[in-house]
Amino acid sequence: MDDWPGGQRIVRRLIVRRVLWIFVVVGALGIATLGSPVWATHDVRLSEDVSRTKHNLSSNPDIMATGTTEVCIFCHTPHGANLAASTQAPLWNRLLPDDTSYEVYESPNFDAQDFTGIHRPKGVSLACLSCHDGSIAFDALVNLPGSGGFVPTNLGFGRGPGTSTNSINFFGGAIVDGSKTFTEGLRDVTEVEKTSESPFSGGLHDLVHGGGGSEGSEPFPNLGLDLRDDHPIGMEIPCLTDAQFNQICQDLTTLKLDGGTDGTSVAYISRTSPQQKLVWPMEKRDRLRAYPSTDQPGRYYIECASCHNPHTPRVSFLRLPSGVPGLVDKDLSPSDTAGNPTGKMWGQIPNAGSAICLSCHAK
Amino acid sequence: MQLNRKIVMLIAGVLVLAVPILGWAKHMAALGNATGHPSPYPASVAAEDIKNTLHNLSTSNIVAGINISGNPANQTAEVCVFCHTPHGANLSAPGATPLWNRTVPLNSGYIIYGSPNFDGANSGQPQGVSLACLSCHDGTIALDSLINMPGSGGFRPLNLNPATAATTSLVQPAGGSAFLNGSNQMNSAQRTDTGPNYLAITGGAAPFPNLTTNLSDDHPISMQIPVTDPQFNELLANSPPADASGLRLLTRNPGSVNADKRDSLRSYPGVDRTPGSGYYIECASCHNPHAPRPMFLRLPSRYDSAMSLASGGGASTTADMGVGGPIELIADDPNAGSLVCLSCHQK
Repeated sequence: MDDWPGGQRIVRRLIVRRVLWIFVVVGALGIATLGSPVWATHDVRLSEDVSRTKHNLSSNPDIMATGTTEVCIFCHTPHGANLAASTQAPLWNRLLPDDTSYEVYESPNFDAQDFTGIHRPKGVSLACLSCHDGSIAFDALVNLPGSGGFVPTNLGFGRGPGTSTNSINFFGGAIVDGSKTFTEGLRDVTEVEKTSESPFSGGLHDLVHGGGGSEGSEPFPNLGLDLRDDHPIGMEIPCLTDAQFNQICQDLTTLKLDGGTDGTSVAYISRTSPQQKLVWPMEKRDRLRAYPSTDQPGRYYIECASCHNPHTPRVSFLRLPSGVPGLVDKDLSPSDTAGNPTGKMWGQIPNAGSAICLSCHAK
Repeated sequence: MQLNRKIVMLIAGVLVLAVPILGWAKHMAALGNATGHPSPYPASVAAEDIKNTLHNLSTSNIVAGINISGNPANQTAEVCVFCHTPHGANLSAPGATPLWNRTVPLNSGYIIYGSPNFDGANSGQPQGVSLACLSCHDGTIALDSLINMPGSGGFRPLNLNPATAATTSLVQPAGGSAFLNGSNQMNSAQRTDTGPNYLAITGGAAPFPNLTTNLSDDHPISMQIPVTDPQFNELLANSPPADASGLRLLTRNPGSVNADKRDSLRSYPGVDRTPGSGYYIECASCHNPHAPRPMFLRLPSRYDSAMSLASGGGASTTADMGVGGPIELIADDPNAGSLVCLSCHQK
């Protein structure tokens, strides 16, 4: 927490409160608690805790899988993984979408580079889109839970729902359709933050279901194949042509913030000068990141996971802002739109002040 | 009067203290002879029982179809001999491969795991106990390439060297099967079965149990636990120190190492096998080849108190988006809730 001094007072108070609670609980239950490990509470200060996010498809009431209690299996497998997306989707356990199917972002102002000339989703973004473009079934897994469930037809790239399996059933019809992909149709529900929830609850706020009228899951979490209405991905950071990115590019290309030297590792984004880097998240999983190009070493791309961390219990699966001049380094606790302190931490409202956007964009 | 009040207070104090102390004593009595952290697992679930696993390759396997000792001239009901021998063992992979009775593959030629996110320090090629596993599971060495055959008079020194290793005609007559090829190696063809029946291996053995020599689609092994990746801070901080042999039991929760260390996830020392040479993840970090459990898994060191240890079904819980769904006995389904994965990974 050292990198968020504004949160220290809150944290200290919580520590005191937690210690008091420990005394109360131990006193009340006595021996009943002996031998029971303390399971981490849902806490947005944890960078990652996927079991307690809606990416736990065994527990998410909107996509509830009933054939397994496993969590990791919906994306990863320890053996027999899909190697098609290079190696940027670690031990990937799903059919990957064909990258030629998308309509991609464009704009007269858009200076982004891409050596292919077509800003197709790459690497880790294809892994995200394997659920979030709504075309591939949630259970199009390569290696099913347990033994004896290897489905080689889900290896490689494909299109369509993939080979779904009957051993994993879903309920939660609001956003899962008969082909076990996201339901098509626009959402008509505007959700607000549930103030009654624990101050530590993050990723649970934006459950998809719960509205009246016609329900759907577009444009999020089902982005569809038309990505023109989304921030570009598979996009090389326009270091040469757009001055607003000078600072982050200088750091990415000269300082090698990942500590690597070959341009083949994930790198981290910060707009602060090297002397000010301590204001970026101490935990590197919270840092905004740029992905290397396997074809052009030394060049860095923005992909879905540049801003999103699929394992984090935070709102919208966001990483945390990174060294925005005059914001993060001077005002270390987020304010509301009127400039009043919210009493929350960046971990609870990561994009307060649009600090995530401004972590890359000098706007 | 003053004295009376003091006596009353004293008696009340004793009574207040006595209730939890008596309760504690009763609880400890119920634990019987257990020492230290009580095991969460029923005593009836054996940590190891090799005879009742797929690794019993002999005619004594009670599961039909797994016995590969099918050559009538050479059958054996011995179980251990497929991996271990009491005399004349292979010393080329010492340390974590006790009295190894098989040809050990060279630690070269494997395609190893890599990723831009990967902070692990790969030793480069498989080492130690992982090479013992791969001596069957990379599909390059015959399952009956033994050093010391069952009984007397069957010492095969050529099998100490992978370059001269050969089958010993212990296994089925030549011709192969869905599972083994004509050289008694695991088939390299891909599996096509999609059913839940783990015995139904049709059409091949890759990518499991035959991992092949391409290990890039498998969790990395011979990999040093990365101290530079903060997700492992909890693991490194809470795991007890390594024992004298360099074996270190792993847990993210202080004090929650399994009572039976054979069930415990663990790391191994580096390639020189000396304590202090690092903490490496090998095949046997997660798998126990002798355990009668699905996928030969060890048990998680981290489990949700909300997850019942009672067998059978139960109501699922979605209240906290935690580990919910059907409630399973962890020993029956060790990776329920992905808890084996989450015993190391803070994800």
